[in-house]
Amino acid sequence: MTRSRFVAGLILGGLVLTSSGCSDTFNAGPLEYVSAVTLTQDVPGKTNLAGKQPLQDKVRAALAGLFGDSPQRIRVPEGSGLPGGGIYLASYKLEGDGANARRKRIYRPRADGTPDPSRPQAGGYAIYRRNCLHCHGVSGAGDGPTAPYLFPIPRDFRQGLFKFTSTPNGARPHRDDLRRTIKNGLHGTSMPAFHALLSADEIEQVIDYVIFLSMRGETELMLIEEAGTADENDPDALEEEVVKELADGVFNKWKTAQEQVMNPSIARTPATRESILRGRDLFLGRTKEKLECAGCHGMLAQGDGASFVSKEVFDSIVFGGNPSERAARLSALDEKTRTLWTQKLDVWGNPLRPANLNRGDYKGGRRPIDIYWRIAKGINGAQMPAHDSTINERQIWDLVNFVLALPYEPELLTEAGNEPQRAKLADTATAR
Amino acid sequence: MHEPESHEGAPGVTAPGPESDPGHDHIHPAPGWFLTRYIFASDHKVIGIQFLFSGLIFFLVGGMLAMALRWQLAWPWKPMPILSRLLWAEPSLGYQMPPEFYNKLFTMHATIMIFFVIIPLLTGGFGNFLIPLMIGARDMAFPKLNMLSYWFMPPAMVLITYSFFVEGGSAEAGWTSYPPLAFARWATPGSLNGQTLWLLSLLFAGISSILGSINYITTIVMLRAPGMKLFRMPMTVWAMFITAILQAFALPVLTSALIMQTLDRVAGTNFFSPVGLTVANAPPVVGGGGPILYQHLFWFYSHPAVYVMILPAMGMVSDIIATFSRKPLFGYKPMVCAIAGIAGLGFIVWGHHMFQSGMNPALGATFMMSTMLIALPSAIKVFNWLGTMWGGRIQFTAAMLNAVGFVSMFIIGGLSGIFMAASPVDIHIHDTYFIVGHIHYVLFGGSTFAIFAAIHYWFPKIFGRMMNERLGMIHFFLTFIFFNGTFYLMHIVGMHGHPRRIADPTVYSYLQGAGVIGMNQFMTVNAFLLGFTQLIFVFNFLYSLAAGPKASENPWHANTLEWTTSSPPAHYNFERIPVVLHAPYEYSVPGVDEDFLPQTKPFPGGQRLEPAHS
Amino acid sequence: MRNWSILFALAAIASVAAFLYAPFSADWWLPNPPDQTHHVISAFGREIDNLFLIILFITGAVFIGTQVVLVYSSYKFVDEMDEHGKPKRAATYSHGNNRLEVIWTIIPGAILVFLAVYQVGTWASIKFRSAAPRVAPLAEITARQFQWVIRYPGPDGRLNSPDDLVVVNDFHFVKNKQTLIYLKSSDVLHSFYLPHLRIKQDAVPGLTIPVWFDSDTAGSFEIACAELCGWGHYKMRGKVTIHETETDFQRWVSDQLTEQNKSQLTMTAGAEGR
Repeated sequence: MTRSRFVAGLILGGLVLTSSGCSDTFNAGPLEYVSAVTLTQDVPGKTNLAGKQPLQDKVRAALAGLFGDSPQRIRVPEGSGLPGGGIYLASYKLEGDGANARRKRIYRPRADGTPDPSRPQAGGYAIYRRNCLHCHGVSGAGDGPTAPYLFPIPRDFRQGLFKFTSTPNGARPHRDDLRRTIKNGLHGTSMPAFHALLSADEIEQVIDYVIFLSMRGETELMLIEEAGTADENDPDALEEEVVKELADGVFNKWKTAQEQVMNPSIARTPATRESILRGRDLFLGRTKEKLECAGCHGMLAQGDGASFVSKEVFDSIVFGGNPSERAARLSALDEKTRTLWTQKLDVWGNPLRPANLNRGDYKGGRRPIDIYWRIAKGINGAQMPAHDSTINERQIWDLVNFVLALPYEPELLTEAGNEPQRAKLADTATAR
Repeated sequence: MHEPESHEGAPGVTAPGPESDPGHDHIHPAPGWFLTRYIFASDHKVIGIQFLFSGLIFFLVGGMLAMALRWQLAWPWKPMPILSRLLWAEPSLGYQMPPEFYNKLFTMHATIMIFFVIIPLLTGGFGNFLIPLMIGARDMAFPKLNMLSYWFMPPAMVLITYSFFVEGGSAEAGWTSYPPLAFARWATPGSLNGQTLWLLSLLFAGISSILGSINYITTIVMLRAPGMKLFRMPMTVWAMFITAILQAFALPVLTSALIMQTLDRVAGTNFFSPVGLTVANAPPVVGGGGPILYQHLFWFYSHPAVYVMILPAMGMVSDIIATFSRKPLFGYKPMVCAIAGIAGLGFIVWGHHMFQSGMNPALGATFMMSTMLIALPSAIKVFNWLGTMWGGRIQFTAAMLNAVGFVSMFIIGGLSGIFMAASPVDIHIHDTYFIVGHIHYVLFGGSTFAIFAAIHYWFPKIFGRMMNERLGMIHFFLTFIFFNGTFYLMHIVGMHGHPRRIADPTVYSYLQGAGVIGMNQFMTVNAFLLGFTQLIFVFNFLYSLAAGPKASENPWHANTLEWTTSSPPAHYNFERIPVVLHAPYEYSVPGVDEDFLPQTKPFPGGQRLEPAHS
Repeated sequence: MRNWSILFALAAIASVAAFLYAPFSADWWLPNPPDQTHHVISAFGREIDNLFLIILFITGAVFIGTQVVLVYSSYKFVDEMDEHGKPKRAATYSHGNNRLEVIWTIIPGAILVFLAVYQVGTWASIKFRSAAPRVAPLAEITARQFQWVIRYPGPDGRLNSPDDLVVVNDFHFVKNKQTLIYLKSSDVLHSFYLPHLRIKQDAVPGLTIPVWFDSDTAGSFEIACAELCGWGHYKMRGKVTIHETETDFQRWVSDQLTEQNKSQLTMTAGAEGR
């Protein structure tokens, strides 16, 4: 079963029409994936296939061969490592080929593993479509209809990168990381907590589908990258083995990440006064490690550090008018600010803002271990770097204790012990 | 159309009254130029027709929005007919309606139906057309102001339509537009740009109504024909009069609330924002205002607005029921007092919309008392309509059917209001479908049936042609059935706790039962049938307009003054200003050959007739 | 012409029938636990339902009365012509009846005043702040787009201290115990609606509103958001768990605190990854 290769035809699960009796296709056309920008457009500094029609077609064909040609016809490639060989993605399974293909309903398993005919499975696709699509888009590109109006902008899954993970910086997330994000949401963003909206096994199905979209997106980028090195009319470009090798590379990243969760070797230091103050000193860069936390998060940890553009500039770009006119607002900035702005984008090209640590909203979770991960391994794709090579675990725990105490004791950063910073603060305040 | 010069022998000219002969007033000829005659017209009849047409067009728009939102409630997230292919065909959208679009649907449905259909149709359309004719005046007191009042509407209509096409789309904070959702630009896509246009649009619509109401009050006070004492005015005129007073006093409050919210959005004021408020990570505002203040201001207008939408309907239905029961209106003066009572109490009940808002609960207790009391005049009116029908000779024309439908449905709408007035019960049913059912029984079952009744009744007078009675009856029959099918079960799902304004009720497990889903689908099917039924009306209206049989002066044998002049009336309404001799509802008077006695026709024996009691 | 009265009669009969059928159906009637359709789980719920029923009976009687008159008159008093095209019967010439007007003003007026007065007590006990139970608040619930952030006091028993338990969309309290919460909003208006407990209160940014209730039944219920709060309004569902005993509740709190204070993966919890 797990090794079997199948194509699953989909119908929106759980939404069976009773009286109108029409299927999706009655009111909607065929669905298609959004291709990566670099497939058809010239993006400076990135490998792209603009104008190279034969190679574009090859990439499309290779992708369709691996993942299916439309969101409604899912194909799960061999070796994807998705649970059950991808059986949880769909509500129907196609058996046989071509004209002989027969659709078979997929049922949720009983305790003993046999299918339970009273519990048809909705499948990750249908649950995603219903709950996630309007922000994350059909292809997981973060381009749903609601997305432009949100900040932070919904995640584009197609690079395989997810911000709040427990694996080393740049690695794929552990399945638990995705589960936590979906269940608890991301505080301070528009990502809702789905544990009150979906059942545990529905969440598992969505995780499968997110991983599927992410693998598909990353494979697409890999294929473009590979095809970019080939000659336009080379008939041997992207031949089957190459495609398979690329895809396996993508799958393996996910597989290895499952073994790479960072587990602190020592438990959290008790949040004593001393520990908190040590954490403060680390934050303010007063230790020999010279951490630059305040450079981004600001002297008062309000997310207004000097390395980023000022809050006013940021607000005027992001919230100063229509989302479609952000580029125009950006071009109105002076050269220096604009350069700084472009330096402080995340890998998806979206604006970033360092966290205001006084609010007590922790996007990646409020558990000590969550904050440990943020500090130790950074935030993928964002400007928050990994610190596990700079400071030791004990110091990380001191910082964690400081961060957790700050919302309740903002005076930690304003109190008399901070005289050297006072003057600086006054400057920032007047500048604001 | 009569030549203005021909004074002699024109139909509808009444015998001059004994005390004076005001019929020699100078008569202005109708403007000859097309533009001033039909477009920038100052003639109250043309303006009334302008309001009528624009209201009916927006009625279709509002109805289609309603069908789209019913689709989503019955089959959440299923691709919609037509709309899905039209709006969400881009690959990234996958034919799926985004949830904010649902919010736009109900926001714009309510806004359009209230501010662009019912109020303009009732006060703008029928108020304009009927008031001068029914009191025997040649036009409104301020014809140019009247023209201005209509021409404030097109900018409002353009703005509200345009708002669908701006970035973020139209407003989606509900027709109540509560802050902070409405003024915080990043709170939801529709609050980005659409809300500003919504506010401006409503400002224009509101100014239109204020101008209209000033005109109505002045006209009714100053321009009544000789003998048209206040207590000889038809109920329609009384209702329009009191409605105008309501609007004149309540609308400035809404206008100021709208301006304050506009300033909060565009000028950085903080009338309605608490200190340091930040929504959806947008920069915080200074704050210092209160969100609840807006609710007070809004409902100070919008509760009376409910009566603005029902009082004229009540007035017109009173006239129609009396005419087709061939019987004097039962309890004319109590009816007038009831309307005045509704208007008076209407100003002190707004807080019942805010029982759960966080307003001081002690205030809620007093609002409960006043709200309970406002049910009383409504009850009196129902009893009097039934009293009018009792012992009459009821002629079920299409107009009468719609009027009786109004009474029957208004009873439901009125009684369901008592549940909401009771503040403890309101805790449970507030913001559920119970209130949606209630408002539709009042505004569709009530106002809209009255509008249908009035269109069938006055169509001959307005356009000089008769509407097809059979089609009218079929339309009423189907509308009545599908209306009940659409809205009645809303009380039940509301009682079961189905919140209003949620895009997907199946999110909640207590709403996942087969009963609730079944009811939602049943209501949707009925809503679509109700929508398609209106095509019969559209056809009947347009066909009769073009090819209906010519109407006589007084096809229904009614008594009020508009039926004493030609159909359609000449530009100057009356050859001679009529002299009113008695009350408007003298039907089946013993000793009179015919079963009606127009207000201008003397009672046999020369005696004056007044309502039988004070 | 007479047949039209049948249409009006049918509408009235269907209306009454819907409410007669409702109590026999699980999801036509007021929201109650799925297996106990007629068991309201909170004291306020019982009071509110009783008031609802009283109003339903009174309005039902008025509805039936008026509809009977309406249907009867539209049947009985329909215009009929004889063979000469003359009406068979003349309409009564009457302008009304003062005595009737007085009767049908005073009786409904008295009923309405009675209803209002009769309800004030319940209203006061649910909403007046003076009626709030003298207990420590169980939690502070802050609504934001689009979730309920629920903050329970930690071991120190004080709210808004670093040891607080913070959970999202997961509200727990104990059966048969007066429960007091503080309701807040951090952005737009929301409304805290517990359909099964008949509790509803708007959450207003800038205000802290106390809300109190109890329940006589343990089990799983839900919070709905009843005030439009933006594109994700419908997504704002919260889970409600009513514990049988205080011990159960405390056990849940301490489990959650353990999870919240987690600083290392263990083999078992790591696989759970909560």
